[in-house]
Parts: sequence; C-alpha cells; structure tokens
Amino acid sequence: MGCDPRRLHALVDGELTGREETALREHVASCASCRDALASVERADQALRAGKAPLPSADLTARIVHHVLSQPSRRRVPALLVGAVALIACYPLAQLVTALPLPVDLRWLGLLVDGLDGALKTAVSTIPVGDARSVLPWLGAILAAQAIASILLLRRREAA
Amino acid sequence: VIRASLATWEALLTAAPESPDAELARRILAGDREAFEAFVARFQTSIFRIAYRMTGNTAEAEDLTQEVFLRLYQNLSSYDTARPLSPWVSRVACHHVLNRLRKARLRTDPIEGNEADAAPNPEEALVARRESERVSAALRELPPRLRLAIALKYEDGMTAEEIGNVMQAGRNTVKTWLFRARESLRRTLDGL
Repeated sequence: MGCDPRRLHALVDGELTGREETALREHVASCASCRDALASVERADQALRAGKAPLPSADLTARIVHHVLSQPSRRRVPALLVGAVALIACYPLAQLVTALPLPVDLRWLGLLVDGLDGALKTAVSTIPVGDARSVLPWLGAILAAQAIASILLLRRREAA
Repeated sequence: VIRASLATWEALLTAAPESPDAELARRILAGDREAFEAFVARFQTSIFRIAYRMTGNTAEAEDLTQEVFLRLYQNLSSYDTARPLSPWVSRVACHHVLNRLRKARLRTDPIEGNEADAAPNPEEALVARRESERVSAALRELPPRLRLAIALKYEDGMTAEEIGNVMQAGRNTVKTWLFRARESLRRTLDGL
C-alpha cells in the first residue's frame, strides 16, 4: 500500500473497513511520513472537535418568536383569500349556471360529475396529509365545479 | 352523486394520521404561537451553532439565527409534510447562511474559544488560546462551502452523505471539501 493522504482522513473518520484499516496501520507503522501525517490529521480533528460553539443566550427563543411573528405575513393572506373567494363565488355561480338553458346532454353531465369526482379523489390521495391548506383553492374549485354539474344534472333529470 | 362526494370527503378526513412534524407545521401555518415556540426551541441551538462556526461571533450568530427562522417561517408552506422536518430546516438554514456570507461579506471574527479558561495552568492556557486562534484563522480563510461542511460535520455530527443532502452536493464532493478543509487546518497547525 502506498502513501495516500485521503485514506488517512478516512481512517480518522472511521470510514475504513476492518481489513482496510489493518493494512493502512501496517503501512503507517513502516512509513515515517505517513505516521507524521496521521498524527497531524488527528491533531486537526481534535482541534475542530474542541472548538464547539457556546450555547446561545437564554432569551434567544423569545427574541426570535417576537421578531418573526411581528413581521407582516407574506404568504398566508393570498392563499386564504383565494380559498375564501372560491367558496363565496361557488353559490352565485351555481345559481347562474343552473338558470341558463344550456343544451347539455344528460349522459355528458353524468360523465362530467364522475370525472370531477375522480379528479377530487386523485387530488385527495396525492396531497400529503397536513398539506391540504396549500391546495385548498384547487380542491374548492373542483368541488364547486362538481356541485354545479350535480345540480345541473338533477334539474335536467327532473325536467326529463 | 351526493353519496359519492361524501365518501370522497370522508376519505380525506379519515386519511392516515399526520406525523408530529406535519402536525407542528400545520399548527404553525394556522397561526399557533405555542407551536412556533416549540419549533424554535427544537432547532435554534443547532442553527445557532452552525451560524457561530460561520461567523465566530455570538452576537452575529444570534442575528443570523433570527434571520434563518424568519426565512423558515416564510417558507414553511413549501415544506413537504410527507418528509421529516429536520433535513428541510437544515437545507433552508444552510442556503440562507451561505447566501448571507456571499452577499453581505459577513464579518467573521476569531472563534471565542473557552479552551484557555478550561486549561489547568496559565502556560497551557496560553498554548490552547494560541492554537484556538490559529484554528479560527485557518477556518476563516476557507471558502464558505468548505467552512459550512466542517460546521455540519463537527457541530451536527453529520456524515458526508447527510451534508451532501443538505448542501445539495454529491457525497464524494463533500468528502473532497472536508479533506481540503482539514488539510488546510493541518498545515496551519503544523506551522505552530
């Protein structure tokens, strides 16, 4: 085995296998240059371990919480706003659409309702649990479209 | 149709229970102050230690820690709740610390070591102080990426692979950074 400074670092980090370590230690025992280099790497490693950071101030948590929560929120307002608008817009939109004499076939309406239901199920199964808030506007939009199509379908069936 | 919709929403409500990390993130996003305090208490020491290694100064490190938490809070909605919180926190924190070092040329002081105070006699204290100053001087000469890799290894005890995940670099790249950093420090200490 030849002299390889990288292997000395790997030895200090405990990354060598038992066989590799034995071979390297045999080499180091017979090589003055590698012996000095290994001692030097171990010294650097010790110096880095010794230089641990102190603990932060006792009031740091309180200062961080106060600082962060006193900042104006950037992202929460738009997401909530979009969700609220989607929910508010759902009812008048459903009224408007169902009042229109649209020449839509019952079969296509049924397919639309099923398709939207499938889209909703796919969305629900792919959203990470607890992360629904970020996609709430999309879920609201799908649900609103489904509600409109369902009402339209029921009215057409009644008329038929 | 109504029955199908109810079944879908029931599936949403009865989905697998969320992890503690996901619950914490959800509560913070909902404006729960206690949840945010718990989040800060959980990660502040780790982030402060990295910041301290990068700046060498307690006051600067605390300011930087505060900035990191503001960044984390503002970006919490991008956290994927299906994954653990800790690697995401480390990634955002390291990205911010590196950016700050690059953009603002953050002042870096000699590490305020306690070795001299801990040494049993004045002569040893002097030697320890001198070595500590040499170590911090050598670390300050390193590029920020190398210094951050050293901080993650020696403060957080991360492996090369974990450092690579946080710093978005390959394992071998990280090992090269660590090798270069320690070689530089080794040469400095050999010169004492």
